[in-house]
Amino acid sequence: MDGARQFPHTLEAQLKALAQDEEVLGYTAAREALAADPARPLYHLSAPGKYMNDPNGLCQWQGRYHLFYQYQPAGLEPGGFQPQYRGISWGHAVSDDLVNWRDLPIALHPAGIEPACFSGQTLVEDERVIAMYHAPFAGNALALASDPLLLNWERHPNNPVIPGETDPDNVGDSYSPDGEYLIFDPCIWKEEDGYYALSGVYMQGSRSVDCLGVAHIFHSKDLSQWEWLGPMVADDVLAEAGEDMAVPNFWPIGNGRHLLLLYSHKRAGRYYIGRYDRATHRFTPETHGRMNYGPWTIGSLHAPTATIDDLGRYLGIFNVKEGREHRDWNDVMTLARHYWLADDNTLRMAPVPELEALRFDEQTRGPLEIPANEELLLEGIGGQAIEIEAVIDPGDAREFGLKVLRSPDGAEQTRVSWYPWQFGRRANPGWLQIDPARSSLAADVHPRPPETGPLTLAEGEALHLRIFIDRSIIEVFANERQCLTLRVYPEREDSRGISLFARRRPVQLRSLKVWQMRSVWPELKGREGQ
Amino acid sequence: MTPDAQFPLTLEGQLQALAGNGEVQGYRAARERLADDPARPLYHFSPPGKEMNDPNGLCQWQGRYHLFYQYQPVRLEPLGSPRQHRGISWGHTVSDDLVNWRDLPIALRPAEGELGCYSGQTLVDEERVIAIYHAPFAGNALALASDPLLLNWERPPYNPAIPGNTDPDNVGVCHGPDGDYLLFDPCIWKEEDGYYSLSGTYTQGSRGSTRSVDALGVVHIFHSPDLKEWQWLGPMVADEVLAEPGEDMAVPNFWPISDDRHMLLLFSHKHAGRYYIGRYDRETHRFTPETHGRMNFGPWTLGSLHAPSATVDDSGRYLGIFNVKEGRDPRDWNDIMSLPRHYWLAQDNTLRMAPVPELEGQRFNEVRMASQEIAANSEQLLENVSGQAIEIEAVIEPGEAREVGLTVLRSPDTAEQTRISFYASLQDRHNNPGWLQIDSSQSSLADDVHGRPPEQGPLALAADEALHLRIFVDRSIIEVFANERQCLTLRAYPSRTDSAGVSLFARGGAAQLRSLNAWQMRSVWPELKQFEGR
Repeated sequence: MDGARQFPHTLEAQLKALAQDEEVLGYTAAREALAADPARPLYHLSAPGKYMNDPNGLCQWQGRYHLFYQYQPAGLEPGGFQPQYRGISWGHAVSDDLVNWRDLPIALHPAGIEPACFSGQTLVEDERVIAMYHAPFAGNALALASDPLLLNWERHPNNPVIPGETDPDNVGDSYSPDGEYLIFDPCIWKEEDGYYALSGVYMQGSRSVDCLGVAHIFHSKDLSQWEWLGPMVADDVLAEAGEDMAVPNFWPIGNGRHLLLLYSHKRAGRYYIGRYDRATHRFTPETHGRMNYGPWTIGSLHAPTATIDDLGRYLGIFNVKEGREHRDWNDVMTLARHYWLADDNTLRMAPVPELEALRFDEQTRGPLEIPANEELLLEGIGGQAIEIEAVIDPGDAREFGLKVLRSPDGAEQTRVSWYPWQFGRRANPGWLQIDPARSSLAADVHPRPPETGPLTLAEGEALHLRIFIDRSIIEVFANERQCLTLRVYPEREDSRGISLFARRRPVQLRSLKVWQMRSVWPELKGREGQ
Repeated sequence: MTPDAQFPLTLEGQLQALAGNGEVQGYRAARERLADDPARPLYHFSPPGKEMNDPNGLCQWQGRYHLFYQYQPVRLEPLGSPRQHRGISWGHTVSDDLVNWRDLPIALRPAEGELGCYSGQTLVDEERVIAIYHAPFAGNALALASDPLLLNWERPPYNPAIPGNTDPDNVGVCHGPDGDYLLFDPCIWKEEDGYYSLSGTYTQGSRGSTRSVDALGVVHIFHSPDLKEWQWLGPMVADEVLAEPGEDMAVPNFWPISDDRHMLLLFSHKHAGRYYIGRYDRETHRFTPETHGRMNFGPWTLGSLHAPSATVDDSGRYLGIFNVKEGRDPRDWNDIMSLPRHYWLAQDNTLRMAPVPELEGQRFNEVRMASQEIAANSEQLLENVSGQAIEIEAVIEPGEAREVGLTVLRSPDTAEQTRISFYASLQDRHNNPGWLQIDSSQSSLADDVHGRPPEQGPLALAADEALHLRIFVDRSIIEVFANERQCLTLRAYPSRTDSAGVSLFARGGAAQLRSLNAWQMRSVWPELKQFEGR
């Protein structure tokens, strides 16, 4: 395993070194080589080629946002995961604003006995950033950095600080020395009496089938010696049987609550809101919710990373898997999402406002009536890298919404719609949906049913949609209470139209705004406004 | 309170009495009055007007199949009020073949002290049929009949056999005498040492006790050597792992489905029809589920599958029938019973299902299509196949198609159409099966139809396994059986008489149609004969 690379220690010198850094120049060249792929997003982070997976270690350090990600620089070789995990590293990107990202050299390469650096998270201290990650065949390990751009990582001398013994036939299972618990994706935070870490994993049964999800909690005064305190939380009530608690992120979210944002290898992104008792180190969930509803790993939202930034915002970013045959790059990171709690302790969410700086060429429509049972094509408006903000009164429609990425003949189109809450139909909320059935004519796109999540509107409440379309990714935020994410692959350049529709009864469009979005990637600037 | 009617004791005498029976004549007249509603199905059972809900007490007695159902012939309390089911009775219908049904007089009306005759099931004993049902303000009660058409029901003097105290503020909550358990929908069976009964309900879970929210589903088991004295044996099964929090175990049906497995077929007031397969220990009277599955996947009570009634018939078949709720504003009748479904276990103890073969007697005007390609991104309207009351059997190799399927109830301009499709599975996507779907988004232009997202359920095809669909379209109800492993049910309400077309489509790649057979289906209702073949 190669040793960590060393960069200068001042920002100025680091920037200068990076300008000539071969690895970084290689990423720039790789991005340029991929620029012809119409699936490459303009204002989302995607990998500089090769294989990307979970985001890791989101943090704000000296004002800048750092995002790491599971990265296999060798790319995916045939043969499944077992041979492919070897060499997985922490890719690294930095941003001043959570929007414009810049590639940095790989932060963590496997070191020592570690064949790979699996997922983990970071903790920002006054003088340093601590990264904790899972290393199969070692355990959970630490790396520390304190330079301006977090380029120079040092491994903790006592690594693996939480040792584990990995099943050679299943690198996903690492056992504690006495076999009492499994070691997997960690996160780390600090309390008055020292550091705490989670290991997000499962017990009793088979992962994705019938196991019990559990997050173990560990304590250390000095980062060096760690004590297992038992399960911080286990749940076989709120989640489905077989859902593990992988990739946990655990931060306070206000109202005396914590948000445990995590991932299961059965249904992908999900969360718990509840109370964390600092005396007993037990977390009691009050609510469980999902960030992904339909099939997982088919064009769907995957795993999270989260942090609290200097403004006090609980921020989360997920990777979104491909929904087509493997190419020479994969996955797109979601827009940075801000989470907070409403007064009733239910979750609220919105894309970070920094994104608004990308808007240009605003067009507005409405108010107008969307007629029943016919499609209202919007003339002179559209695009494949846009933001749409629409406010619609549901009226008595059975379903209403927008078709986006629509070719003039309708052969390609993606349907974004809402089905109303039915008064008197208990436990039947309204439903928000993205239907990709007709999104693409391309032959290598994988099938999946619509992504559908619950969204109840109060009496008289309008549906407030913010739809972010960025070529192959769609994120739909609704009323700050729901967000659906899906990959789509329109094949035709003219699949850029927008139409409105309502079934059964007309609905009233209060307002519609559409912005073209700037590219944050130089090589894709020429695609703006298309 | 109406005293239970008394009919002659011979079949001949009963048939004669029924021919002149005012109640039965009233049902026939009601069916005729409803005949112009295009939502009335030709070969499914729907009520003779008024409000129907859960099927109850399915059984085979003296060769004939009897189906009872929650029936509200007269509304005594406003819909939606806490006592909206006051007076609810057991409607009754009989069939020689599970297909052709005949209305019989109401079997059970509330006895004195009972708010209503809620759901329950039957046991065919040697010389009699025993019905057990839930009666708010009484408990769980029995009724017995032994005449040929089960017209003469007697309440035993020891009713309520399993007494309970109903909460006057919530008639859905009935406590056992010690408050140890809740009494609700029962079923009944017999073992060597006597009778056993379940009460399908909920209890305090690890998070809360509110039904449909956070309660724990539980089924209590009771034993009686003689039907008179019943002893509570505790929970036969409780589950807050396989089902969602808040899912109760209402309307339980519990019969053996193989030599060593039972199927508990039931309903939750959160996701409707569902089941457990597992082992029942006759010593401890505990049931250990191995599998949980759903009969309904999307929203419940929106044009969706609801509650079951089940029996094992004389030929040893585990049969189940569900009511299917309306997906439009209330009219003067509601709900349709699903086709009778035969359930059995595969060698790996997973559930298999098919409509009973007796239905094939309804087929006429067969159309056969030869093997042909369904081109990528094409829709092919079938020239010789159309109709609003049809069966379609299609065998399709998904091939390279991303989504492949049929539209049915399709108007020529496609303003109305219902999409039935299969999203092929991805072999390397762990725990992502293929998905079967009915999308009713465009089913109807009618004004009073409710919206709901597509109904979709998992269906994994083995490599090289073709999709084998049996689609039953009967005007306002669609049942889709796939490869004997999945069945989706949904109501659809085409408003146009020309919404009868059928097309094939494939997206993303070509699929291969191996064969397609379609049949018009005969009406089992005299007043709807005129609509056959349309």
